Amino acid sequence: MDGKKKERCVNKAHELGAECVKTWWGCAQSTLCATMGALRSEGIELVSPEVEDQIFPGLVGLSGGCGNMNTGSCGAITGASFAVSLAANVSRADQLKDKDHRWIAFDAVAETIGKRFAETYGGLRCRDVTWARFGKQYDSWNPAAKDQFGQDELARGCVTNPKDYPCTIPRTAGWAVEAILELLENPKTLDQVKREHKLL
Amino acid sequence: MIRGYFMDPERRRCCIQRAKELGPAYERSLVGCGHCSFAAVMDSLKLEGIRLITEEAEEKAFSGLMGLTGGFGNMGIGSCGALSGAAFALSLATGVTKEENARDKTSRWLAYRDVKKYIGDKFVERWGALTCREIQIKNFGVALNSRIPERNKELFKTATEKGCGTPDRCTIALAAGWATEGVLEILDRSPEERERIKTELTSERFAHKFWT
Repeated sequence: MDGKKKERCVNKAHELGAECVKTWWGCAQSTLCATMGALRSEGIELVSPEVEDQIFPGLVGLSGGCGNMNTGSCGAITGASFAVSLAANVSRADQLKDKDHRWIAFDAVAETIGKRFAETYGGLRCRDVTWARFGKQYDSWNPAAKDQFGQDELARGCVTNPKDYPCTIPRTAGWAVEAILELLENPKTLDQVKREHKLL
Repeated sequence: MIRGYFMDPERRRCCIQRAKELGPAYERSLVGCGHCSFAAVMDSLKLEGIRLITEEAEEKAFSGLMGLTGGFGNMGIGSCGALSGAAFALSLATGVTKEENARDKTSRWLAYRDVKKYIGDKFVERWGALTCREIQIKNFGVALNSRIPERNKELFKTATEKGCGTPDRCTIALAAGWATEGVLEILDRSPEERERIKTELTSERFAHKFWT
């Protein structure tokens, strides 16, 4: 894919990320769907819309640091990593044949979006993100604290101004799209991961 | 998806126990906490005739969850993969679809509640945390960076020496067992009970404008 198309695809992920948040609110499912939608707009389909519809409910509960508990991985990195891992395309049959296949999926996540997310937010957890963005950590099961979180997001232009203030969901969906496009053009081989991780 | 499904207590116990046994068995054959915990739950349920998603979607979910293993790509700093794979299966059972989530944003609290209650709180109770690194410290007294080949080998050696790989100690087994138990309880729910829980979850929050 040429540079112009790549840029268009990433921009589409930002646009869809902002739309998906307004539609569903939850970070994991919104990030996955924004990533999938952006890729689909350029003719790349990792899963059919019907399969995406079935996967969606599984990701809803992983939002907000897993069950909105805040201490697990941010839902945006969860939805994005799920999409990147899908693009790495290691099947159960592959894994049964040679268990080192899994490193193709691990590297796809760790070396692209995982590294970028951790460098930006100082970690992968929901609370790492809010600490980096707002200097705060919240208990999302406390209604007053959740309310404060919503107010802090709005005050910084999250949701209402995704172009000038890219909030975590559209930004992470954009990173996932970049990672996936690179991965589809330059996939790692089994021999490569075996060498790199000294598995031989 | 079956709703209002009732399984007698003995079959239920067997289904949960089987998931706990499949967890470490899959860790030996398929290796990786994210996809193994998910596969253990789904396969145990299928042997009781319960299928949460189509075979094609399950195969894709397996590939998607693989990268969430070891605190995300074996980075150690994200959620434990066993938690992610098992929570994904639980959330599938809760079944908040795109349409329901779009129609009523509060519906997603049902999935949060089920994930927290049936697995998140259990992780916190046993390990005091949700991330891979913190769970390793609790289990082994040391956390190892699996991205470094030597440390990755050391992790597998340590796990073996500490007696991991059994249904009552293995993190994957415990996560799969808790999730299977939760899925069966979720599937027992009538539509009316599901609505009642949702109302209970959301009513106290309506006083806050931005709580959603």
